[in-house]
Amino acid sequence: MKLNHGLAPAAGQVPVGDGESAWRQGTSQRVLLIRRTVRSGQRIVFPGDLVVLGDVNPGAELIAGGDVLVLGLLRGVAHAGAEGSEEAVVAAFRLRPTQLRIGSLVSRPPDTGPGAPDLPEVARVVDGIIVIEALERSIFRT
Amino acid sequence: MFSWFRRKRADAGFGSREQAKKRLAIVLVHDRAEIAGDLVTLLRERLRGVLEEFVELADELKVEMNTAEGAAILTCAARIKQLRRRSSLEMVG
Amino acid sequence: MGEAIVITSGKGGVGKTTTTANIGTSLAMMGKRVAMIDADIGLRNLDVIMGLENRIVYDIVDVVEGYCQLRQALIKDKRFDNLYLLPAAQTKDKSAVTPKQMRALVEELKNDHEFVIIDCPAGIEQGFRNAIAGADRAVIVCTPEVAAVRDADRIIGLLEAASLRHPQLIVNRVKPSMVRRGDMMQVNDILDILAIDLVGVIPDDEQIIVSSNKGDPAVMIQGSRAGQAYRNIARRLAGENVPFLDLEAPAGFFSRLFKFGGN
Repeated sequence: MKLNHGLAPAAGQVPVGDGESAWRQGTSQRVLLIRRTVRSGQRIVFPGDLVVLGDVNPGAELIAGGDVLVLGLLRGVAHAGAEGSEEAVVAAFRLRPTQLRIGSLVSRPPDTGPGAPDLPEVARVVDGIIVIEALERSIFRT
Repeated sequence: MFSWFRRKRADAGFGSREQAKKRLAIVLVHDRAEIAGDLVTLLRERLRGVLEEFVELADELKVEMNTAEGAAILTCAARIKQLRRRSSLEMVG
Repeated sequence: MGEAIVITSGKGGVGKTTTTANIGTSLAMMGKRVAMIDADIGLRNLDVIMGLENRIVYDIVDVVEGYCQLRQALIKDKRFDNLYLLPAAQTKDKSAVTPKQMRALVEELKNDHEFVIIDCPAGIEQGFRNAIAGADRAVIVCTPEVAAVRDADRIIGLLEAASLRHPQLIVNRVKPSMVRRGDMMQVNDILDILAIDLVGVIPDDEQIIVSSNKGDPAVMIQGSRAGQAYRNIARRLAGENVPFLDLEAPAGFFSRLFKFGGN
């Protein structure tokens, strides 16, 4: 498979983010696809939506103007809506972030309590608070 | 029997502690001499100043710091063009 | 006005970060106001050892580049209100901070804190020069190994060149059983070679790994021999006169001896 760098997803692929997502608008600079493990010390900054086909390790940072979607294990820091949008979401197959930021909000997992469930989850802002819930079909707004 | 065994071990230098100490001593003499590079440059300047009060040097003064047999050795070699006469010595001094 | 102490070693992996975390936490447990600086830009670790990694929003590079105020980047410890951490940057360039900026930062921290403990990166490059720039004193960590002692010797020379005289030594990961059978250098062997003052000896202790797994410094764990040794070091650094632990004695024997000695 060819590296799908910065291009719109092919037909049938899971669309990324909300209705504003770039691929619908047909521009080619709205989505960045990373097809590798993002490791500690690596920082990926992109004005549009970020899609990682791999894991994001602790110490790595993803910073996106739009949404962040990790098709793997997210253990680093993810910042969606980095230019201030609280509409943005962070979704991952396994969401275990060191810290999550959406817009100007910052949250971290509690020091104690139950661990995260083994299923895909999405973080988004509801009433000024970052909440995490199971990733369901509805989030894709297809 | 046990005491004999223990002594034998110690005599033969089996304890790696002693080896570590010996190796460190050698390594450090080397390291400290190498770091003395700046010192050698300074030393060369000062020595030349002193020597030139008494002799006229034919070429650059050679100053080297080396290590041999666990000690640092300073070697200094000077080719002398001529000794200064007493009158010029007085002028300098 | 506080005092800045840099924890350095030259060689990597001898326990600088663990030492910084434990000394900083110990001093805080004694009621001192403490700030710890992770000067290892690009390879930050002190936040993880302290269990504070998920609280980081700004780091030291953000401060020097003016993206935030120093107090915004300071992370308050989750256990002690008087303990703070200034984290290193993980995703930025080492050369982002200069010795001059570091000096100014440390000065500012010294206004509000009695102790500023600086975790120095391994090596002798710019990270090292930054870490020692604002320090008033230096503590050198070394293990009883040829390579570690050699690097400590090099560091002592560099510290002297930077006018940081009279560094103090911590000998880390001493294994009494190996010392007894002559297979490990004794603390005195190392002191003979380096000719500097000893501030403490840390026994090799599995609790250190357990505590780093948990993000709780060993000084907080009752019964950790390394933790006890670090608490003693902190008291010595704060100017108290604390007798040295006898690492040769088996654990039980020493405590009994101590009890009888008190009579």
